[in-house]
Amino acid sequence: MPQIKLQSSDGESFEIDLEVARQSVTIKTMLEDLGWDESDDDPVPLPNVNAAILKKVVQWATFHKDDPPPPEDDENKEKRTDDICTWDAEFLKVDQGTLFELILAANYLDIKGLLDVTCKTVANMIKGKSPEEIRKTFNIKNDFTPAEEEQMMSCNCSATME
Amino acid sequence: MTALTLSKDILHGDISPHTYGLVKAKLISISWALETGTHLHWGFQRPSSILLCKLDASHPHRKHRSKHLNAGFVSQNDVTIHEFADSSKQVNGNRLKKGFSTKSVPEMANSNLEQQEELSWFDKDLDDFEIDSQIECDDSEEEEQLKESHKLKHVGSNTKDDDGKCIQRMYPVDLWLALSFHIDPEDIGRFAGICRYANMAVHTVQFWKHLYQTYCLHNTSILPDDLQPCTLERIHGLRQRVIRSLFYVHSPLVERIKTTIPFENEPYHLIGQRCILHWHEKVKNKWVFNFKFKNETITSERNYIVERKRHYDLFRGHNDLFYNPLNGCCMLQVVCHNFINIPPILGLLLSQIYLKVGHGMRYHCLKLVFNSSVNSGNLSANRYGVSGDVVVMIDPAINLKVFPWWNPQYQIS
Repeated sequence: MPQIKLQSSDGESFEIDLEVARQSVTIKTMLEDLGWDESDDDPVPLPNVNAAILKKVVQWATFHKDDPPPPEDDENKEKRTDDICTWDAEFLKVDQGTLFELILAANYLDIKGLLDVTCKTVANMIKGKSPEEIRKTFNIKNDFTPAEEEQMMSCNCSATME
Repeated sequence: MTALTLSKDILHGDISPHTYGLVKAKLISISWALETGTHLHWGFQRPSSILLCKLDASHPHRKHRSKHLNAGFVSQNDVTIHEFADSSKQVNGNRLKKGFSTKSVPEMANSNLEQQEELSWFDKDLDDFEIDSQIECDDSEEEEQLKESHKLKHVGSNTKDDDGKCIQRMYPVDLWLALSFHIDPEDIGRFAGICRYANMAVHTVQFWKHLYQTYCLHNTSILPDDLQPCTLERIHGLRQRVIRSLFYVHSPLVERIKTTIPFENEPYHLIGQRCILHWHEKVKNKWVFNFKFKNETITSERNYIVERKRHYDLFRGHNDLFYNPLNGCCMLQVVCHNFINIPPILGLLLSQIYLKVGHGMRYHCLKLVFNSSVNSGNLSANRYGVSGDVVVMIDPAINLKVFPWWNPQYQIS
């Protein structure tokens, strides 16, 4: 099995199977564009992912390497947020910061499966909570001005969908 | 360096009175530049070069230093016009950026001048003209800070409260965009209230198209013609159409608007709204009277947090995602056993509503009082004995419902 080296933003290298790495569309495209072959020993730099998160991503991609590719028309399918497999649910029992970093990494590396499952987890945690509760749960800074908050409260648009 | 130092040099015979005059002129131009923030490449370098030529001629042993002095003086020590805030030109690698230094440029220049007061200007070597290492250090530290803040803006950033206990984070817009595609329609309002980026994410055309594709596209048969998938091509008013579509197909929203018992909707919030349409129809031996009202205090669904661009461009025509002519509209539907003649009320404001038990004590009696202004509703008759109120009495009223614009039972046309 051909191996490839990935280098995190903090300089740590991870040697993984090429098939595992190719789950990331970003890496896959990069390798195709650069004409990478097995003899290349240079690590692929991933400046937006640190070692701790890259380790988790590699762990997830290794477990899911045999999964069938997601269908093309998945976009138009009604999304469910309760279809997270047990392994993923256990895997994502991490602190909120790591969870958000995983979303960013999955988005950057374009790993649809990981992006879906992490977003679903956060969406489930958000469900039914008020904005203030959500901010408290995830330690998110409220960057609205008091005037903007007041405007949002009185705005008819939010009343339609809440 | 001050004029005093210069006068000492004259006394010592180091420079001639003519040179003194030139140097003094130069100092005046420097102080003028420092005060006004203007620069003086010409008013400064030219006398300098003249001065140096003169010095070289009178002091041959300083000849080897003239180039150094000139270079050091201009590029490292003094303030040039390119080091001022609005300069577009990069000066060296150490240029202090706008709004970036702890010391202002005049302060920095003054501190340099003070430092040099100890030695005569002409006796200084190139090293003496170097910028204070502390300033360089501050500069590099602040550059680090700027880089850090820039980094924090794009990758999750931590913010400590004043008490230093709670760590709050700000995440980049990418995260909120990715998350927005997984938020249920009934959670959108709450999601938009988390932070600015989350708010921004739910105000994109992509978001509303994705909502329609995810929840409505598989169930288009129950959607009316104006909400069919082809309407996605038109951005103008897209948000309004997607919201209306979701109330047809998305079960949590459908459940929300389902009324089970008669008179479940209270009509009192319609007071002060203008009647924009009314009509009646006969349905199975009963008469249904419909009144459309518009709340004129709700002018638009503009999102002031996310500033939207133009609403019209020449190529694509109107493309306001938030355009909603139905905004603030409600429909009051009253079912009655018998036909009631409705007086002309179009364009009048609903000033009062009375809902009480009817004569037979079995059904309700609905009294709607209209007037040309809200305040005049309670006024007594004018001097001609006419109050100006238009009263609609529906008795017996079997049922009453109020449908906001997003309700599928709100009749668009």
